[in-house]
Amino acid sequence: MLPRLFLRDARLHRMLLAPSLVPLAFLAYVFAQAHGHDRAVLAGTMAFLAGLSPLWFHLRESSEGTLADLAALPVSRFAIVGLRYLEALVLGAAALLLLNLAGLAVQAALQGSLPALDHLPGSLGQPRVLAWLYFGCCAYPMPLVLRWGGRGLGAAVGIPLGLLSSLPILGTFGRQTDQVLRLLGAVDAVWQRVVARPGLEALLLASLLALSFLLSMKAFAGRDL
Amino acid sequence: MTNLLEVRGLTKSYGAFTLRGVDLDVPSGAITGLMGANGAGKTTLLDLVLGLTAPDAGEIRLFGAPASEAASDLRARIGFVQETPALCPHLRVPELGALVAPFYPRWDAAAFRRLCGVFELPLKTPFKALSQGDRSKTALALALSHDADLLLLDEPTSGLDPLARREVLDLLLEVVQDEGKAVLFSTHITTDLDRVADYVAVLKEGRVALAGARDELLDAWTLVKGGEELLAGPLRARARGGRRTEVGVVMLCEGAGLEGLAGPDALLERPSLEDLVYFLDRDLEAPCSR
Repeated sequence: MLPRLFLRDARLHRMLLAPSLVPLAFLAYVFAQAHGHDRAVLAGTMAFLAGLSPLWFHLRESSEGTLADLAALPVSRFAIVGLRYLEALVLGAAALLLLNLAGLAVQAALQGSLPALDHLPGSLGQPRVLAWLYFGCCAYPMPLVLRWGGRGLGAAVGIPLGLLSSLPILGTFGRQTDQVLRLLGAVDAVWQRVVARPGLEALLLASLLALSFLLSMKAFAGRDL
Repeated sequence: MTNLLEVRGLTKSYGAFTLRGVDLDVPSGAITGLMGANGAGKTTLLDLVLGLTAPDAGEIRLFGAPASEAASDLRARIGFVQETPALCPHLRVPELGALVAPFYPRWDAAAFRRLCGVFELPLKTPFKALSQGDRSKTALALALSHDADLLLLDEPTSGLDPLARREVLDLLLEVVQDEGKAVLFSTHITTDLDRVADYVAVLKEGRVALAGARDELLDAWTLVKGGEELLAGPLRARARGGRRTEVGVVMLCEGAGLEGLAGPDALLERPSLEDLVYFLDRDLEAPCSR
């Protein structure tokens, strides 16, 4: 079922996918220049952009009313939610590949020779960074977008920004600088402790992804189309 | 004859609107018409059956199985047309066919092409540029091209010209020639149901006010027209609605053969489906509004 749904989205959203290739190539060039081929940065940026795509697909279908047509097809809501997560993964991977190819092309153009292809796999960026980007750009906002559409995306972006911006305000005007610094320090300490143990980090990430998927299922099942 | 769709005690609230304990059977080999005014709950009921919205209470059974557990292969046996078809706006009609075909194992591309021809659909125009009538016809062509056993059609003939409406109704009659297939067809064009429906259900303010075989329903009611004195007569107790007019009163009364209860000046008629929808539960005491 998922391949059929994926094919449907590829046909339906090609208008969104095709133009995205142009800025993709442009960004690849800019970042390749700016960061001296720091592939992790390039990869992360592209994964970020591609990971957002399924959110746009969903918002577009929601606004055009085709979401009801999709849900009325003989597919389960589980499959529709799974499709969005899979799309983010596939598009992220495609973006990475395209990005690296573009990077290689830029390098070749600048140096006048094609780098060895065996450099390609190692340059795909750090998996843990990409996994966190996948979570941050796709899995974290997905339940909110599936339930509340554009307002959900606004909340997914706005709430963390609001919280982050409230801390300096609290420190500056509420004279709580010490407490704010202690809080940030505690958060950083926990984070450092987690990333110091790859197993623990992987477990945390897997748990968050699983939680996101379950919440997405619940959110989409409860939505009136 | 088996019921392809069974609805029991279906309840759903949206703000001020509530669908209240709806019971409905859609038997095979027949067309069931769903009638009611705008806002009566027809679209909500069909959306619930299609799984587009979750019920607050009640049960829906599709092909004998609970709808909530209906697997994809069961849902592939349903064809549907929504009240306002919102198919992918930038795709052309043939592309729309190609888009949905993979989801239906019994998709018949030749039938789809034939229906596009019958409906005279423009094949090179994006869906968003089609007229309302052509949009409905496109949705119908898609619904009728995968040999569905159960067709759920929400006002499929609204926006169609009389010729196209006739074609659609004839197609629906063809569908139920197969004893294993059924059509549930919501509309407020009651003449369409007069022409094709075997069973009807009347929704009023979110509840089923009447349901049954069309002819039996019509035979069970009498429309009585006469002077104001009818309101004080024995038929008043049988009246389930009506209205005052400039010259007297029209009452919808339960039962047939009421000649003996009406005065000599009263006119008794078998009501039409439109009469049933219009007069049922209408306040008989309300003053004439002209």
